[in-house]
Amino acid sequence: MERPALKLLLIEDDAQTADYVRRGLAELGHATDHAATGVDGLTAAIVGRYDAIILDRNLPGLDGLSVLKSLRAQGDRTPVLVLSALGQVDDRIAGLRAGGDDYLPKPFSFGELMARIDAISRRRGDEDITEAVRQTGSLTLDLLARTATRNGRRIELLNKEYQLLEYLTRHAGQVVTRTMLIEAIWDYSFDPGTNIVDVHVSRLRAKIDGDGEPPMIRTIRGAGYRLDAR
Amino acid sequence: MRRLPSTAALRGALWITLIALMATGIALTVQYGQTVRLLDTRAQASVDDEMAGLVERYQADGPLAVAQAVSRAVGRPRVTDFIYLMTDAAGRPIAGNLAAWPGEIDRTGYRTFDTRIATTRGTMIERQVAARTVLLGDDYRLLVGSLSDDRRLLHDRYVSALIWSLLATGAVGLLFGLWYSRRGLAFLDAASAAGDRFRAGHLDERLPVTGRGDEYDRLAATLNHGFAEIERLVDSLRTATDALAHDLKTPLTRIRSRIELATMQGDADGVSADIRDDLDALLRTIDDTLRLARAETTMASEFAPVDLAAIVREAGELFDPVAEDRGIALTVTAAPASVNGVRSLLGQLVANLIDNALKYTPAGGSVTVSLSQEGDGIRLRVADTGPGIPVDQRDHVLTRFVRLDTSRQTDGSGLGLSIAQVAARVHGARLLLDDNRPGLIVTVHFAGGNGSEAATSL
Repeated sequence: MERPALKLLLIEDDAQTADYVRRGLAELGHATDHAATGVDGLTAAIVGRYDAIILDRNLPGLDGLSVLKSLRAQGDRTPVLVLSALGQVDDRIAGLRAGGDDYLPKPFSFGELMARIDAISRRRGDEDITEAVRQTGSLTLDLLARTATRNGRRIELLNKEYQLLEYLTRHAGQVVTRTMLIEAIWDYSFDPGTNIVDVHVSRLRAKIDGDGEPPMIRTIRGAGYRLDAR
Repeated sequence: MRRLPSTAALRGALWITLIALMATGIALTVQYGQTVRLLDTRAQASVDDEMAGLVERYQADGPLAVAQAVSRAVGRPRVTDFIYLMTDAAGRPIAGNLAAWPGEIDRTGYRTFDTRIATTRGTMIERQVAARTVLLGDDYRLLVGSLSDDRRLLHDRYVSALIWSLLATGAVGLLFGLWYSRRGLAFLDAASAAGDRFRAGHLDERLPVTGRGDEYDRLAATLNHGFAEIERLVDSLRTATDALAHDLKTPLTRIRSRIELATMQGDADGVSADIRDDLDALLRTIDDTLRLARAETTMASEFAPVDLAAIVREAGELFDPVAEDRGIALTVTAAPASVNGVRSLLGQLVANLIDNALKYTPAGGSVTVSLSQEGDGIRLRVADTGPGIPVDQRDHVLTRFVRLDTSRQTDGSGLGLSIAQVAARVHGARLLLDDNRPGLIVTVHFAGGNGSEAATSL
């Protein structure tokens, strides 16, 4: 599936990480500007228009969270993904509270990074739209009644299964990682181990894919899952 | 090595001595006072007795009879130490063994005084006298006294006894104080020597315990406990570092050989998926290691009330499909209970225990999770029907990076139980391993907390 090219800003002081992230993003067709300090990053973020900003928390001089707060204080709503090597339990909360849209601890895999950038940059714009019914291919979600039907066939879902499906359809066409699902559906900030997400996803698959219907959820090796409109 | 006592020790010795001196001084003074009072009472009684006899005579037979009686008493060879003097109103002696009226006596009553006594034999003596004076009618004065040199003697004795006692007490006190502070000093020497050796790397170094059970022994025991804890931590850190290095090197080595092999065979595409899996395992190990370190530094200031029952129920829902897929019966019972803690850490504790139980339970087995109130605490119990853990390996399994069954490659870093144990510890809970015959029971006891009796089951 083709992704539209994104214009991204990377604020990261480590040259090697920055280079690796930029090359990876370029490979996927995204254009990335790079700033090595908090001040440069803040200037670039204010002057330029970006689809999303990748912001390292540990920066020389003006630190990441301060950059984020300044940016938000100016009314800039550009989606921000906060990166951090800090090891505190409440880091994620602090990052989100400062105005971050998502938080990714280092070390991270490129797949995880890309999936999260995709998720936050798409989120933009459709935030205010109040949906009542979401149509994804042949799948219909009634967001008020919390029910799902496919090709007119009612799908019986448990609470968490519905939440899982809702999340996947919201990010239809995007790769969603296991960690993202764990965080969003189960509110765990850790990997509960085993192939737990796989099991839940395969149950969901069995329920939504009826006889003769094309499978909607694909496993993307080394990354996660993608629900496509079919 | 002998050193002079430190100022603190010397000060201690001086205080001890001072207290001993005060005690001795007070004891002697009280005793002296009591004795003086006794002697005084006796002397006064005998003087009054003698005086009463003479006054009686005066009342019966008149002043002349008194003068005769006095003269008789004086004339007798010394049987008593009484002093008599009867004078007329002008103070001229009529009878008695005093040559003149003592200047110290100017009114009637009982008095004790030092005086120079002019005897009728014409000698002058400096004596202490306790005497009573009365008026016989308007014309005569009568003084009857006794020599109370005992009292002076006693005073002198008291002073010399006091001096000698204080000297002796002072000497003994100082010696004892010095000995006592030397004992403390010896302990300090031993402690700092042991500390130095410990720091130099002899982690098995301990302070000597005399067995006397005194405060030095208590201090030594406390310090030894600290040393033992440090030794344990250093050992476990060494073990953990070795195990971590091993866990990191194994996949790295595999990655390296795969790349080399692929380069030799000119096939780079086929290996990338395998390499990615290995790297994921590496990242997971590192993640868990960081998580463990993070859990260990959890502060009580981060605590907030957490609904433990909800966490247990949600974890049950999360793992339910996994258990079903593996043919394991997972039962979760959670009575309402909440504790003060960090939600994510408690979630991890519960998830790790269930994950661990499921991992080692064969198909057809069961995993039972229950959360209940017990006494004034809360008990979380996860029981499985897997192979269990032999008694002698239960401590070992809580050490980092340990997988008992090394041949069985289960996924995960092997840190699950370690993280659970640390999570329990930072919440003031105890994690215990027990036998389920067959299988393993992990019990976590939270002290305190609150909840109600009503149980809800899943």
